[in-house]
Amino acid sequence: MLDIKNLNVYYGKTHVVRDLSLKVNDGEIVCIVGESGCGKSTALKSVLMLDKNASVTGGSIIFNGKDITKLNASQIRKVRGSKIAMVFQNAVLSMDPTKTIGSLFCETVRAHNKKAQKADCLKKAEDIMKKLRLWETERIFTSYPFELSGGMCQRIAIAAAMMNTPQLILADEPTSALDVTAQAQVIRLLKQVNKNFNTSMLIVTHNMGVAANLTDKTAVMYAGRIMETGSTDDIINNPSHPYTKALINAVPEMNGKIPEAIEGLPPEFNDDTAGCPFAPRCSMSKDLCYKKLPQKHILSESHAVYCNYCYI
Amino acid sequence: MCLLKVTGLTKTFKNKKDRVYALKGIDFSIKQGECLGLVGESGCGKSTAAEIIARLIKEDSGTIEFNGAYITSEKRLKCVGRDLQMVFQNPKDSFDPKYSLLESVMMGADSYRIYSKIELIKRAKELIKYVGLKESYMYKGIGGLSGGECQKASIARALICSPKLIIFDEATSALDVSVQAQIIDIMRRLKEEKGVSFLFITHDLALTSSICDNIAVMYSGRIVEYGKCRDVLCNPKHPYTKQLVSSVLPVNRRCDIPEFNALRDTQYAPKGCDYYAFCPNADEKCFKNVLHMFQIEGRSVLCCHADD
Repeated sequence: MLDIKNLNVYYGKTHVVRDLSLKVNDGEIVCIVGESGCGKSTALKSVLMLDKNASVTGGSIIFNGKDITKLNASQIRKVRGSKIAMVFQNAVLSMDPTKTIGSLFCETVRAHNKKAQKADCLKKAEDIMKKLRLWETERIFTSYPFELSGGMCQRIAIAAAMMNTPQLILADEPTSALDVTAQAQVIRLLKQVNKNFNTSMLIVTHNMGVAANLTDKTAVMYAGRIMETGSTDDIINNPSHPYTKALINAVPEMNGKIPEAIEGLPPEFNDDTAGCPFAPRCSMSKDLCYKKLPQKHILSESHAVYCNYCYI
Repeated sequence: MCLLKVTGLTKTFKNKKDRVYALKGIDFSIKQGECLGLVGESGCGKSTAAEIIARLIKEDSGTIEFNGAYITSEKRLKCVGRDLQMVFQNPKDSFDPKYSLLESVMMGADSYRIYSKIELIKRAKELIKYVGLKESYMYKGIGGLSGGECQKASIARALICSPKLIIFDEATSALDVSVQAQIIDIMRRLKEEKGVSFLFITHDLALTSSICDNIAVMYSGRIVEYGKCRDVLCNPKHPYTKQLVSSVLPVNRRCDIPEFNALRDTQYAPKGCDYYAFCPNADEKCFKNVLHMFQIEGRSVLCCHADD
């Protein structure tokens, strides 16, 4: 359904996303994982052309047969919120503090259907919220975003994203600002949305637990490039790329395992090295890694890795 | 001997309309070289407890014994002085951006005047290396550092007076996994090499298991379960701890996220259990009885049904 091919994004002269290719099929949940500042969020925002400072210079984003990069502003606006909806990291800040949640729901519908009546919108919102097991709809509709807790707002943002029954939801770190209980609830809710409405999702996160428990496919990003893609089971249980392995080892677990830090720091975005961007921090790197950019190596039908050595 | 002993700490915040009971009497202690994890959901009073111990705010009642002296009645900050330091959640906000890294780290010792200038510079340089920051950053402005680097700098600043206890208030929550692992690594080295004690406040249970000796689970201003970290996480007794443990998403396998307990329609019971409204096995007894700490299997649990 969504097919990103060789996407390149620049902020001014800074090359942030490099040759990103990613596919999202019908009813699938795909996630992008990686450290802060590796270009995950930029890649996600460029799907809807949300960032004015970012310029998409190469590649294509095909959604239902149409190339989004070639649409003009008013055409994109028709796609935003109706076909593709977005859930942001900080839900409280993404809502207008001068409007109640009820009018937020109405506005979401009216942006694409001017004739919609308020009562119908609220009825629809109530149905969706009931399906997503959000009770107390009356109280929620009359509240302002700042009167509700962060976890509640995040769940409402997901319900609001569902108002126009989109085919695809983009979520940018939907659980990073929440504590563990609220996080588990939001993940449960996203799963329900996927099951009840067959909505596809593209999620950006740095939490490997979220990736492991929610998604079907995972792409690991580092310094603007994809390092490894595959089904989530493959990535978590059978990682190939040294970076994926290091990332999984850095996650603390309940059994008292000591998380292992990755030595060194991610490279600057303007660093145009010829070789693999991870080579300076990699425990396996050899001379070739500094000279040659790794090509895609297909390990199995659903699993591919960009590394010079680890596929051997 | 206990380094820090907290007994019956309470704190109420007054609002225009009503009162918020942030702490309803908590007790815990930390021995020299030990790490205590204080966990719980947002708004359960973890940070309030930390701020009271660091003398940033004043308590309503209760006592705190630190390093053999009662510090509760004393005036602010000076009494705990160089032996107790704090690392905050948002490192960028805890530094003045106009100073360089070296100056910022040295500033930690400013009010105590225990080192000469030359000694102080030498110490600061050593500590910056110890926490794993590049030497080239030394004279760079603190504003140019990333979030993780800034957090390491604030650990260096806390260490400059060689404190006995460091309070980490959600110090790793804003960082991503690999930087988080680096911070944990620094903490482990400090604990083993310098015998520093920690009060580690977090909502990430998995993180506590890799660093803490003891753990105290807080809910609504009370400690509901307190014991050895392994015991509590592997075999939780209190229904709230059970829920908290089941909310942690494991990495190596998929789990079924449990249905969350529905809110029971109830009024606030001043005597009864705070968790009554959400607890799956609550009954009349929980609503009316006065709460007692039960001692089971080497830990304390605040639940009427703990011994069932």
